[in-house]
Amino acid sequence: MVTDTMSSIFLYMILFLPLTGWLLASLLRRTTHRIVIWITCATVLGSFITSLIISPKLLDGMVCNAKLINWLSLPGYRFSLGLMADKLTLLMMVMITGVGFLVHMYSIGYMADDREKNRYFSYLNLFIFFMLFLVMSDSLIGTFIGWEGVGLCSYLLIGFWNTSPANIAAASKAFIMNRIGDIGFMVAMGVLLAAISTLNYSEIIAHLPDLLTQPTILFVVTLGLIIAVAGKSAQFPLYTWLPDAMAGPTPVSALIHAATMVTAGIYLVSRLSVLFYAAPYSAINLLWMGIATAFIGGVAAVVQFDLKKIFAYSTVSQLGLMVIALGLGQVKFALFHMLMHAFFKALLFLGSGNIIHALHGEQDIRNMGGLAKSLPFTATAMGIGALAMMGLPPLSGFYSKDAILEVATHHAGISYLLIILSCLTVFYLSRTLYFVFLGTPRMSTVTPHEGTLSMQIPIAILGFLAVVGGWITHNLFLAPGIEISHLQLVITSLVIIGVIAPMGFAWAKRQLHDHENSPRVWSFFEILYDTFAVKPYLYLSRMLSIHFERQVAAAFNGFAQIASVASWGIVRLQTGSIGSVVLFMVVAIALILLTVLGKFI
Amino acid sequence: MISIALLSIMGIAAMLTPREQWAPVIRGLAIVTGLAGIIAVQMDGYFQVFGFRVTQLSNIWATVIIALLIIFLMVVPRSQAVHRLRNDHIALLLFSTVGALILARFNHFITLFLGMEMVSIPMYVLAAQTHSRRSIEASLKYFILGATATSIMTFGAALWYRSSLSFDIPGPVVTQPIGLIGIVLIICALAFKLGLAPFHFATPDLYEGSPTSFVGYMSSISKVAAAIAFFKVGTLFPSDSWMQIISIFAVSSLVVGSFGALRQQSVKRLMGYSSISQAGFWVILMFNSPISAYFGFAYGLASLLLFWVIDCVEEKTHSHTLTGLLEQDTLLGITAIISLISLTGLPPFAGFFGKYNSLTVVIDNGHWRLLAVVLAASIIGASYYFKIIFQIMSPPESSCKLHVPFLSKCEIIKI
Repeated sequence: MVTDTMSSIFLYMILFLPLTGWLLASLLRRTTHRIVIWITCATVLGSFITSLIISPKLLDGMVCNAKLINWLSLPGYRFSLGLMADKLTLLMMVMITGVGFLVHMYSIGYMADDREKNRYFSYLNLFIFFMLFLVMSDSLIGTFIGWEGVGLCSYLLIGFWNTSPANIAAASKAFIMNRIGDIGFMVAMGVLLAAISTLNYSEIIAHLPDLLTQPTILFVVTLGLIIAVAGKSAQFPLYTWLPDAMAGPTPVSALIHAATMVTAGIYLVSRLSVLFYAAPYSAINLLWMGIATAFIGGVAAVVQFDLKKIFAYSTVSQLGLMVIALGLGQVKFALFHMLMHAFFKALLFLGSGNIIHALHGEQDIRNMGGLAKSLPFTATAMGIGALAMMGLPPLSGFYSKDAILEVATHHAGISYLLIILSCLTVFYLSRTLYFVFLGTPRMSTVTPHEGTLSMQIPIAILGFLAVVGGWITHNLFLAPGIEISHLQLVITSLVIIGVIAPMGFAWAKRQLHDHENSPRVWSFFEILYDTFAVKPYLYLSRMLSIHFERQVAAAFNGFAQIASVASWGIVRLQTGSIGSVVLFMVVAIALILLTVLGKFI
Repeated sequence: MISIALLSIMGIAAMLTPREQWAPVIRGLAIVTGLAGIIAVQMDGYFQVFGFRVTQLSNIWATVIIALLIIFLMVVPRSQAVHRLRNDHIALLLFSTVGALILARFNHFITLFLGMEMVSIPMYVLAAQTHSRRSIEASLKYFILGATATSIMTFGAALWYRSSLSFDIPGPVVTQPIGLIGIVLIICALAFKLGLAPFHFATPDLYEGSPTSFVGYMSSISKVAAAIAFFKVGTLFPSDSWMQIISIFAVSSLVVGSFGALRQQSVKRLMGYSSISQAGFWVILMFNSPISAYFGFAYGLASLLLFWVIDCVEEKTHSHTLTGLLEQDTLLGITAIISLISLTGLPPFAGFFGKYNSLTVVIDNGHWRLLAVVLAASIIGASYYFKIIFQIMSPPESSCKLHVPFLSKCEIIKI
């Protein structure tokens, strides 16, 4: 525990620079875009640089603390907000501010034609502030504030183009689905507070021996947190909001819905991992939730035709993989994959942003094709991103994915599941690449061209990281104790890619061939959800609104009527005649005297 | 005591300054004097002279009062009616504040009487400054009822003296019936000054009729002063009778204030009723004075700012409907919304802690019926404060009157 002033100042700077950026951007809403863009980009860059400055200290294993405020004190409980930074926080901070800055830079070009740029950039900065607050807080309550804050920003940014009802519906859906998860979070906090009366991370971990004697409480707490993780990190029952969230601008999808916000759940489990591994059934719950999510995401990505939705489902699937790693007890591998995923998925999203930008908003991959010729830079970048995600050695995805695969070999069946999952990934990615870049152009009129320099630099940086990121950082995550039999895995990866990728191409060709015949392909899960979730839900809500809500409204109206009558009576009292007022006062005094002196009579 | 002297001298100087052009200078000087007064308060040790007793608590009160005065003088009173703050207005405000400072420190009935009258008499004058029929009516009514209250107080003091043979406040606890009658009469008079029901009748008229700038003062500083006196006199009661009195005032004020405000058309009159309800919350805190000083500041500040906003709007549009304010003037709109949320008692703002503490007091003492009333009053309070917020945020062109039919369904569900 270190609380020296220097590192406190650094922590404050990291956290509050983006907030300052947001404040300034909001205040200068009416000024020119240039100033706002400069401010917002500079503050995020400043935050990133500060995280780098503080990194050697944290990598040495130091834990820095900084006080914020004593928020609320109730008898028996004190809620104070503070900051804490260790290795885990450092990883998140660098990822958030680094990818955040690249996305800011990319957005300059991507949003060039938008009239509400200032609003966009200020929301982005606010998001980065809340996300940093989420990971830097030293207690669950602070994390929860950040958790809600990023939910809000995600809502604002999904619905950024707020003229279309569909976007607003998507934003609301994301918000509501997240609320379900938040209930789990709040239940967990309440139970924890009742059991050990603290929400501070270090104190929770210090109280672990007490908690171990009460396995039920531990189970409820972790279950609540798992529900929260399912909401925010788009896991199995609650994942449906993420594909819809693609209604927002593409850079937002890259930042919030691929690289950072959706990894909040992974962060939460990692932060309290001792709790999860001590609680009965929690690890196994995580494992199965991850497996279900990974497969649903992978399968759904195969049948999608919307470029961004493919990557959204792919994100769902990859988040599932991270949760599998957590379920297997490998926090470090999950985080490693999270970082690598941030690189290659942000790359893929920004690349698809380039394509959508070049095609003026076209997102259907059936209307693309042959873009490798007209957009060579984007094609190369996305090719690298896809290969990294497939796990081609020695790109970044290879290290993290195969580390997880390696652990899974100790758990009989799971390694086979993961290999099938890898095949799925390779399959849908190669299918997508074929649709977009190969074959004959199927665009209607536009002649695509590459984006501006400010759009290409972030892609180049991310592409570089997607290539070498795993090689640079793998020593940090893979403890020397764990030996990875590289050769075997290299061969496995190569075989998978070599065999499955052509299959993907072939399938894409075939789909293209008969896509005129089948105008809309429903994913199995969409049908499943439509029959078993959406329709019953709509039915239930309709029934509730008919039978229940009206009664409630009537009851409220009844209260309102009573209040109205009472109000009328009281206003009548105000006659305005001084004589009657004085009389009333005298009567009141007499009555008060009677009450107070009653005991003497 | 230096602060009292400073403000008095400044008041006399303001009164004697002949030239109206100097009013801005006088105001600046008054603000500086106020700041000096705050420093002087901090430098006062704790001591006791005839009629005055200076303690840590009284210094907190005094600081709150002067701080509110400074804020009031800084946010410019600019009513239509009172074209600008004149020298004699400043003098009256300063004298009234001196009265409030005396009330923060009295320990004798004579000084209580002196302070109370010094606070009130300038109010009678300031209330009439619009020179409209309404304004003069409000002032006259307030004066007559105020005089009645004062006479009741004096009569009560006589009875009290007969039983306890002392004018010390806080003094020995009164147990004899005759003395009890005396202090009940005093408390009733002070309840009038604080605007508690059932002695609230002057308040709505006063709020509606007086110049808006001065209503801000009346609703903050004079209320704080009356609350201090109320609290101090309360120490004379045996604790069970005191609880009874507080319950009576709290319940009747909360009921009258909340229900009265519900149907009001004019923001100023609504705020009048809401001040009754707020006094109800306040009186509950009278068990625990440092918190009630905090409540005084939170409430005083919020209502000061809100009346400042109404004043600014009145100056521009010649009416005090706030509809569409947020779009026309963002700063004023946000100020008003923050004040109203604070008055409602929602967490991030100061008002929350006041209401929170009132609830704690009620729960700790186990008065469950009172708790029900307090909760109901908070809910109704939210409904009318949010009605104003709703208006402020609604677009300006829909020139709906302050109040559509009455508490429509959606409004009450929003609570």
